Amino acid sequence: MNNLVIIPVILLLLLFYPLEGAFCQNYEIRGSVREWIKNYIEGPQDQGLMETRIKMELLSTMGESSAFHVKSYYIYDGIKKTGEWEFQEAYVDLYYGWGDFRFGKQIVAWGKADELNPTDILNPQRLGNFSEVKNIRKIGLMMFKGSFWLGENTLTFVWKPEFDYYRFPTDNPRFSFIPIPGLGELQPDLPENELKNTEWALKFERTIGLYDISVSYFEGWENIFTPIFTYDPNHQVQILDKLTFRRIKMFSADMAGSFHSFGVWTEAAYFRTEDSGGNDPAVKNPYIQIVAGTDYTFMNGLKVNLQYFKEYITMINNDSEEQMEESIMSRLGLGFPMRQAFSSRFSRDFGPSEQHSAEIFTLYDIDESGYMVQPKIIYSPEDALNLEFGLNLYGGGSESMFGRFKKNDEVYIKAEFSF
Amino acid sequence: MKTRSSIAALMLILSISWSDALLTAQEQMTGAQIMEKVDTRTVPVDSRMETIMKLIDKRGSVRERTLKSYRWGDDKQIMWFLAPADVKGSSFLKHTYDDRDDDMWLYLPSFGKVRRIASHAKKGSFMGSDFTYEDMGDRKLKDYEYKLMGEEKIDGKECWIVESIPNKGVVTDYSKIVSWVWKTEYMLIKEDFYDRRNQLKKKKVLEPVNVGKYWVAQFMSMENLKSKHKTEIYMNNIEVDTGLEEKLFDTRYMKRIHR
Repeated sequence: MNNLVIIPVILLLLLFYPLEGAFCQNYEIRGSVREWIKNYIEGPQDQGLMETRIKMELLSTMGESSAFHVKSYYIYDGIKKTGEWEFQEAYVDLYYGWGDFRFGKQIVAWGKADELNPTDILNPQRLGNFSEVKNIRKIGLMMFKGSFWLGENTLTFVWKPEFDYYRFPTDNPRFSFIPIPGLGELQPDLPENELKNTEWALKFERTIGLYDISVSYFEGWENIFTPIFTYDPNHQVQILDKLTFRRIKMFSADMAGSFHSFGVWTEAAYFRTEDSGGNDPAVKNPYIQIVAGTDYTFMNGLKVNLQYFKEYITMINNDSEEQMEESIMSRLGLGFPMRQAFSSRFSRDFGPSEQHSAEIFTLYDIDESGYMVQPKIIYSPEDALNLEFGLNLYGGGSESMFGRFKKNDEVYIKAEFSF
Repeated sequence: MKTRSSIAALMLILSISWSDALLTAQEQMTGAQIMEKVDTRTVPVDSRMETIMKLIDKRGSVRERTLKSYRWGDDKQIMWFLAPADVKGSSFLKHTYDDRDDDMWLYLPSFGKVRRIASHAKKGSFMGSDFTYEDMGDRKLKDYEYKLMGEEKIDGKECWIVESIPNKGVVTDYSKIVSWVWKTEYMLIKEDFYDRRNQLKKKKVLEPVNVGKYWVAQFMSMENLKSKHKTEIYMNNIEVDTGLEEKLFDTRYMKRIHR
């Protein structure tokens, strides 16, 4: 959505805001300033990122019955010398004894796994800088969310009239997620802007014993485009023709809790992609994505978080069909085209008030033997001031995404002050 | 007149005898009985307060956190962090049970979702303070063996000293906890925590205040003797029996925006 559109959207949201709130509400402005410099360890383009990001948030509450929240970023690209405003969220909350409602541009986080969330498909992401934190990568969209409290159960309904899709780093040849010639020049064919094309989702949650569980259903569109090729008989090659989105349905479930002393969670999603003709080879058969994870904190404070991710494609009848299915990129959930992966996160807080931390995150693509390793240290000399120093290291087989990035190892420093 | 004097004299004798009997009964109490009284003492139906948490390192530099906190009896507590800016919006929910481990959840706005705190993580520090998640929870009576160690007067308050040793199989960071219990109100006012090598690790001090018909803590400190780090918690604007609804103490409320 064009950022200019956000102004009437905010005004519209204020109409939903209780009238008396205009006279007795509390306002608060808060935010942060962040400077992030990344350099490639290997040339030729040795400057990866020089970004200043100013976050501004306006929060307003009226007692405990409603709230208004706007979150925006001013992002200045120090390499291109350009700046832009991005309104990530602007919504009104209404709180009742029997439920909560949120109207407006918002982020809805689903799933209980850590970073790898197949069920978390309501907000697509900007992967231009994929070492950015997930919450900033997400694109806020116009949605209505209603949570109804039915005894111990919560039923959440989301209606999503605005559509957007995963943005890949097409303008940075060093980080090409999808190595298809001409991809950067082509604009995807978006679903028609009609009521029947709007998306919706439903989630049912409850706690059973030591486990928080939920089941959910989503009906809408893929948020990663499908490249469609046509055959050029003159040059005898496939040419990228268009980028399309297909209707999908997702059935999913997740669970988080404790097993003995371990934190455990799992998240699974079953996707059905619409194939109107019934024989389109570019449509993947129904597939399932599963994440299972555990974490543990040792006596010395070391925290370990391990996760396993797997995608299963169903209804494959023979080897050639399997080969074809494998060549179609996963369209949902992660953004990263991986079918089997393992992640680990080792972290420890240190310092007198445990205000500093050190962490190593590793994501390993099991099928293609690619890996990403991200060690970092966060030093906090004062409250609300964090200095981060880290590395993004890539490697592995040439068929893997991370293997293709192996000459793109980065070193970075990030400073953030919150106010 | 004579009859009235006799009645008054009888009442005086009875009341003295009653006090003596009470005192004698108190003096004959075991460590377990004292801790049971502590566990079942009358607390507000609900309470709300503003809390300032000061984290003080060994050089004396101070980091401050501001919280808004609601309690439902001794069983449920919800807190929202109001400051500093980088933790604002975070919230913590605790449900305490007599017969099983406490449930705890943490909401961090940067993740946008509520996460249950697994039992192993309860050894970790609560938001950088000297209180672990275990310290934030309530100890189960049945999980410890108690021994009355003696008596001591602290700040003019007569106290019992009770030693609590965890039973085999109880998951805890401590080998022993020594508690000073204020006799009049069956309230903890000081505790020493010993590590697994049986060395004194942390000291907790509470200052009670009378609010309405209850005694509640208005100040609490926890000092880690090894790291020389200290956490002071000041409870301000304490209100009791305000009519809070139990349903507020639910994960659904953790995400709500608070000031």
